Amino acid sequence: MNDARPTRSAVLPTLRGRVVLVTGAGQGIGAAIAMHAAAAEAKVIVTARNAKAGAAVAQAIVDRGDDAVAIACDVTSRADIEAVVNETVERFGALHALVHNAVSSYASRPVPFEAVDDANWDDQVGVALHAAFTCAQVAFEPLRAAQGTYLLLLSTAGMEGSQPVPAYSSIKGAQRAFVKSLAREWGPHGVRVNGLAPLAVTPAMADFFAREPTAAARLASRAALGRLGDAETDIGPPINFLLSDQSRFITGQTLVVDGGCFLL
Amino acid sequence: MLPAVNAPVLHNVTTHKVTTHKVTTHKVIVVMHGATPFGRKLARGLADGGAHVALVGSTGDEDSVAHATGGVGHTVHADTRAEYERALADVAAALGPINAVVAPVLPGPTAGPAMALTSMSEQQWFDACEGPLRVARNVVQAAFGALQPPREHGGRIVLIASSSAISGQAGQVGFATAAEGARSMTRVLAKSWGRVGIRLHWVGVPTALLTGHDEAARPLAAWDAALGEAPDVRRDVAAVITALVSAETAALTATTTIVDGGFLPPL
Repeated sequence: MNDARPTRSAVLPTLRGRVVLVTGAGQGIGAAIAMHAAAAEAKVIVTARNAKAGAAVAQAIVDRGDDAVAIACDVTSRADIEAVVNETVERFGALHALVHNAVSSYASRPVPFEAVDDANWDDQVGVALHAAFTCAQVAFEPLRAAQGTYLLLLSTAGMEGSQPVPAYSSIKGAQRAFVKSLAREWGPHGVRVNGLAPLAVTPAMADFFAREPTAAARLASRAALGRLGDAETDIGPPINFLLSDQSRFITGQTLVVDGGCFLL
Repeated sequence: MLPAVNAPVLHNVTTHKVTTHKVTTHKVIVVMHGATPFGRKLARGLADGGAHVALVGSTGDEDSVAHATGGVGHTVHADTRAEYERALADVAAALGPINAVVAPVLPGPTAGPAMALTSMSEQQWFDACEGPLRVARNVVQAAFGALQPPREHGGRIVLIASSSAISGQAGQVGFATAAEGARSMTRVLAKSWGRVGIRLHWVGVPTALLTGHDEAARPLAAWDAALGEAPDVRRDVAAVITALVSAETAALTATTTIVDGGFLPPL
């Protein structure tokens, strides 16, 4: 998380009273999403497979004077997702937004496609696609009741195709059509579905940069704005926009937040 | 209520003359799922173009169907990479080096034509999304080895999937997701495999064609498609594939081509 994070007073309270559940929020962009949504006065449910990491993020939010709870959740488990959604509705009375951000630990490991094995593929599909399906099934009724929104964290790799991670690129690309089709399906029910493809420095990306020392500068040089994004200050605000009523007529879209790298 | 439409005359595919340039004469093209309704029509169209066509699939009818196109058939007994590798090795032994592998991305048996995501079972979701995408991955991985060493004018892998990947389609969330995953696969692999002489392409067609319900695609196309008719697999889809695997398109890779009569979705 960024030390120069915005103060609460600098963040518009666009999510006041909203209940926002974020998967994979124990670190990186997920944690940043949780922090920034809370700063916009949402009640945030921080979910993470690593219970300690999730609890630490929730505590950091509370320490800033905002509202959050942590619930452990492995998104590849339907029982876990059902438990966290049910607990959310019981505790807070509603679920206005679900942000599916969790990502497989295989995602950032460079493996040539011809060498991708079943374990790698299945884990990435399980987290990115099967969990997206399960989250949608479990959260639909509360989201419909709240006229809420379902947001998926996609990746520019799924659009541009990132050679070092071809399986990740394929699977994240698949999520684009999930967003479009589900938006068409859920639009009549008043539930919006969108995607956001961020490019920001995360722990996973930092690991990648450690292995590929020239990659950070190379990637930054491709951005029209000349730098890589910060998870909270650059990605958080457009996430809040897509979760808020400010975007009430936007659905089925993927917002690319990458400083002008790919210009799709 | 929809306004009245002057529906264009639809071509009867059984009487429509197939005129395909023989630009793939002597090329060996493998059609995956070749004994399915879609695969049969595609194989016939590719044979019309002069190719030696091999059918690979799991229906058990591959060999008998292949005789109709003058090619060979090979039945796989599991959707695994190893099974597809064996199949491609057998094809190469029978017909010579493979020039192209063409694979439709098809839904599994329990995936209905249109189904709300919230009412799908786990198995239906797998058959609509994760299963087809897994098969595509296994086929593409097997094709990588089968297209080595590099062919003159390059080897080709063409994935054919639902055009709902581009536009989104209610009732087809899973299948559209698999289709877009396949498209992303061709795009990223085109970058890394171009250096070993493999070009990859993605072709989008109406879902009804892939599932063998060609008639279902016609009324909508008559109403909404720029060309006023749905594509015919043997005539139109095969012609596009024939072009994509020919020497004339050796400079192309990572293309997205939509063969749907012109619904003109945003790209």
